[in-house]
Amino acid sequence: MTPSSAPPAVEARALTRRYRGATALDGVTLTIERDKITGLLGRNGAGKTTLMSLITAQDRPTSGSVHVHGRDPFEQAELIEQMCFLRDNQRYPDDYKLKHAIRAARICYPNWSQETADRLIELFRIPSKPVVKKFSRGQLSALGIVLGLASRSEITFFDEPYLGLDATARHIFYDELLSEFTEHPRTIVLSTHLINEMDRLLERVIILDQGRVVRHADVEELRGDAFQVAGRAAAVEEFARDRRSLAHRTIGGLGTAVIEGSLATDDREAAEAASLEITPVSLQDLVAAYGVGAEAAAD
Amino acid sequence: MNRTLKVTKLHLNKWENFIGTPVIILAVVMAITLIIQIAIQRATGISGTDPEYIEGARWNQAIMWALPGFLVYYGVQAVATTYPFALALGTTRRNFIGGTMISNALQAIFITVLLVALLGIELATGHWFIGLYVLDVHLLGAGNVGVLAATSFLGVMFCLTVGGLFGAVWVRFGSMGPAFLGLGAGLALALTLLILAPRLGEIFTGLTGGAVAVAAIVVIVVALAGTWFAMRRASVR
Repeated sequence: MTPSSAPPAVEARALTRRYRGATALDGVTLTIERDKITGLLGRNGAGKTTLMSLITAQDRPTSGSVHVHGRDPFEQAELIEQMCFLRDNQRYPDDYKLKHAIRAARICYPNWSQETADRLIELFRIPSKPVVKKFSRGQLSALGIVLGLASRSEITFFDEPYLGLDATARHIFYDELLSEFTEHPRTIVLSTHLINEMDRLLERVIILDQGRVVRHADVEELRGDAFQVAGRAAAVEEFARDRRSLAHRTIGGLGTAVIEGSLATDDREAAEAASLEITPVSLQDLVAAYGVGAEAAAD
Repeated sequence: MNRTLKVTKLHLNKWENFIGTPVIILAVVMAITLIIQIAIQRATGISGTDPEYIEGARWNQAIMWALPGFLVYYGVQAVATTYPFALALGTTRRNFIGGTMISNALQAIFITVLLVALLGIELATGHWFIGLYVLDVHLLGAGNVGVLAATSFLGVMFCLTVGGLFGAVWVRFGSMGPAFLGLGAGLALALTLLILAPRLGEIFTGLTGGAVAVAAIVVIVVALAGTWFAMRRASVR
């Protein structure tokens, strides 16, 4: 099979997961391409962790299908052992210390790099004496990052890996992720609310909202698919009336609107005529405009 | 098989618990038994070689009840807390259950070897030089190595697999699972007792070690089957 004809890393078709009346995922259809860093964005409860659980066969769908490298991963050892998914609230066995977690990962992951693990443990300053249960939120996140990066699994998931990390540690993670990805390309999926910080890492983005895929595209394509206008509230409202407005804010007499679609010549002329300023939309604002990450955008 | 053994190695990852805790528990029980039996000898003035003392000392059950609490806990946590981590590390449910069974068997073998070795020392030293009866007791075969080994192996497997079943039910059904399982098991026992009540005396007097062993094996097999059915579709959330 040539690389171009190889199946995508992940393919989901009408994937649905319901729990006692609540729908966590609702007919999700998407592909995740091989050897790219894909961001999984969405509000709390959008279905990001559920999606990752289903892909890694830690959970089973209510309906629909998910394939990894062209096959259903459920109970397929040769597929599952090539995936690494540690949750943001990952449970570790009782009384585990750092050395136990590292040794366990070394036992289980076929591509484990102890050198990478040792280097990252030192960089993140993860303590070796206390039990993992006593770790701070940031230390737990750091441990998850170490296990994820050092696993060198073909498909690696990071579930909100930044939780509790200070700014220095976050930037260490971003740099190490890019460095590892460059030296050992693999498929990486990471869920995040810190979109502005991480958007330089992302090649593709999946935006989920209430269990559904809202957008699924390359980052550059997504940015080019919207623009923002700002000016007098009345003028903004008039401009947005005949266009697909994703978000509209008014403060006093001033307003802004995020408009879906590429900026055409007549849009530019109409904006100029109404003395409206046109600016590109950041990924964070675009995600917020799609109705997701509004709390993160406000922060 | 290699992937199944990875799970077994995962369970042995904390070898301090696997090896160290049973050894510490046995050492503490032996120390307490020593103190109690010396106290009895001193209080009654009876000698450690007196047949009346020996007969009483041979009903010492301390060793039998020393380990079940730890073993049931170990069985529960082997499934309940190790399973979510094992899934995150890329194991299948099938390999997890197989690897856990192997780990349980290794634990049973280890404890059996420990107890047999201790019995050997007890007999070789004339009951620890002072008439101390810990392993050479009626309920463990009164010095019969075969009975001790069988009782130990089956007893440890019983505790681990029953604990594992409760752990599996908890993983699959949440906190209400073990509650319903416990209530169900209690109800079944009570009903069995009710049905057998008129013949209980006859049953107890006719009870043999072999019959108890068979009953233990049945419970172990049922617990393993229950663990398999609970785990094969268990999700982690």
